[in-house]
Amino acid sequence: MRRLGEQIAYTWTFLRHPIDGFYDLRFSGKGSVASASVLLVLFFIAHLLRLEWTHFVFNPYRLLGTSVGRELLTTLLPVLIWVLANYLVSCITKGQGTFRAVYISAAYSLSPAIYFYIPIAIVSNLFTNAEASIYYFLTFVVNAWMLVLFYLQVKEVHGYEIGETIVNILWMLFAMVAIIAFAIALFAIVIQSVNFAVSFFREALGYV
Amino acid sequence: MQLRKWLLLMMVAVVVIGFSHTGTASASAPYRSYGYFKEQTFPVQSLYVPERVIGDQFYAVQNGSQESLPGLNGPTDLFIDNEDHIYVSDTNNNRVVKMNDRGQLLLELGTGADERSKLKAPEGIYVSSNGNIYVADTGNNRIAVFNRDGMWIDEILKPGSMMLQEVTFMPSRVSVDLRGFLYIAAKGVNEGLIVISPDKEFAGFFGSNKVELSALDRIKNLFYTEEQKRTAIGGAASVSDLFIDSEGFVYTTTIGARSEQIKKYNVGGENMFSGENMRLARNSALAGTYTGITVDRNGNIFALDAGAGQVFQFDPNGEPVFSFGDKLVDNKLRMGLFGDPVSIKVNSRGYLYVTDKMFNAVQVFRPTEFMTKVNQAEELFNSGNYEEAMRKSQDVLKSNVFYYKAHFIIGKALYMDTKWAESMERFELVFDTAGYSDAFWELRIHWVRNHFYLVISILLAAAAVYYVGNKVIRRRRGHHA
Repeated sequence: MRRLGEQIAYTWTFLRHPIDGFYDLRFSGKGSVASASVLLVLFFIAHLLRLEWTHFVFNPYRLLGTSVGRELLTTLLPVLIWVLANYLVSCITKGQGTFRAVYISAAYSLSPAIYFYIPIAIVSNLFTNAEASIYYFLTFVVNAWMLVLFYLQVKEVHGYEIGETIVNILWMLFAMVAIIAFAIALFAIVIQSVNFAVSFFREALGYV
Repeated sequence: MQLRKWLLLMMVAVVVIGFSHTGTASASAPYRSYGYFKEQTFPVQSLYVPERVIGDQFYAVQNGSQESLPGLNGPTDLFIDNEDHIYVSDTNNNRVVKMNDRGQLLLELGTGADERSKLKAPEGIYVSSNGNIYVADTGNNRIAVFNRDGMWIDEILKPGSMMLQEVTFMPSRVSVDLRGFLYIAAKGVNEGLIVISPDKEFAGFFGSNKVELSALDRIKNLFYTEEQKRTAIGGAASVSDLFIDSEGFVYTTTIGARSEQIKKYNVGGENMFSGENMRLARNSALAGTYTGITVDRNGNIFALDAGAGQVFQFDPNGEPVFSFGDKLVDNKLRMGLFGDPVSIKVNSRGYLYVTDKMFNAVQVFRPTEFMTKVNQAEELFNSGNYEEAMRKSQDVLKSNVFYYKAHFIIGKALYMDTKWAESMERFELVFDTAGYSDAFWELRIHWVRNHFYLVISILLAAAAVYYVGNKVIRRRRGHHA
């Protein structure tokens, strides 16, 4: 338990030294699957609290305008698909990262959001429309920071060169689209076959 | 927050109990009425009730005896002048009639002996503030102008412009703007409204409808010859009605479009409802077929959806507010229901007039007490009488808590009265971020002014903590090294 706490607290060091951080996460036992999973949950909670606590001026509908399921689909699920796509592409292009390493590093890359989403939401309560640009700039900085971390994640975990990294990221994004398309198709086929089986047996047994 | 809970509670109460309310109201109106707020639809009490049907028959008193005259036959456009007199283009009778709000015939145009004054299937009508009557004389390919006594005075034919060479000039609606320019919707003209200057010269097209191409049409476009394209690919949707309000905004309705069925052009010719799908009705495949449009003194837009058989009221920003009406059942005429409605206008007292080709008459709808209060509150607000507007709005809310505009008016009035925190509550209720932001700005600056010394002390304290903290950390690091 104490070890898990230390692993989660490591995010603070990670934010200041991300390149060393990715190395230590993998080889010095600074992160684990358990701590990464906790971070994903914390990220989701931070996201929900941001929606609820951001000033009315910037987000009038708060959580009323959405649902937990919908937010799961639009925030956490893309991260998990990214992890899968990242690993699958890296297998082909000779990346060094294991699935475990990709999962842990992706979760740690979300730490700017965990730290700063809520403070920004609280500070936004002092702003009016006149200061909207400050609010949007702060949000932009955090999101851009995470994008940089995701770039470094691909580079450091798999040991790519800069050019390789960019090409691989494009492939990973393509793989994400492919996975989503495949999942939707599979979902549709399963529903169709279940419907078919149900109606077939109904007719066979004479219920109609 | 308190207010929000109260509102939610009231909403539940109205949904549970309130249906008895709408039930009694619908006894006088054979249709339901709805309110709209932020993409939500809810039933409301009656807004307009059918008052009477006029123009189905006329009487003239001649030599002391009453004589029956033919009533309207295929009425199309409608106009109401400053004195609340009603003009109807009586298409199938080749005339225009002027009547009072009781349906008494005052004037008949186009039936005189003068050849030049004869009308042929006129479809559009406009009356200028000096009483001149402009008739879109569709069958005679011209705009005929009569004076207030019904004497023919002028006509406007197709201007000799290159742009109009291939057009047969069949005007179906006409309106005149503040400068005296004519705006004409003509049949088969897809380039937009034809604008004609006061000296009868062609002044250009106004607000064209885009050609909507489907993906298949685009592919066809690549391979088809010019000949095939002309027959296979549909053209732009056509303008069905046109209205110019007292501030110079031009409103049009368009049939057969998937979006921008209603447009509001500013003086620069820019559509303020650009990209919006203005179709709200879902009861019929033909819903969204707006054939008539008009605007009241407060800038509220009334649009007649002939496909759905409903009248929609939009606020000046194009947000839907109310709707009412329904179609005839089995084509059996019943006052208050729509058969084949064409045009809609509103008079100075807020009464709505709708021409109907199936009734061959004009139906009159009277605003209910609720609707009258709503209009009064808006008028008071627009004229800057915020306190009275607030009182009226509170009155409105007593009969309908859903009516968001009342909350908005109260919020603005409280803001003007420097009650910022209270006005913020109202703006929060109706999700108005702009109003809320303004009120919060005032609240914040007054708080800072009133707590100036506190603010300064907090800033100084924060600076001190930062300075001392930095020193301590630096010293500790020194120890470790």
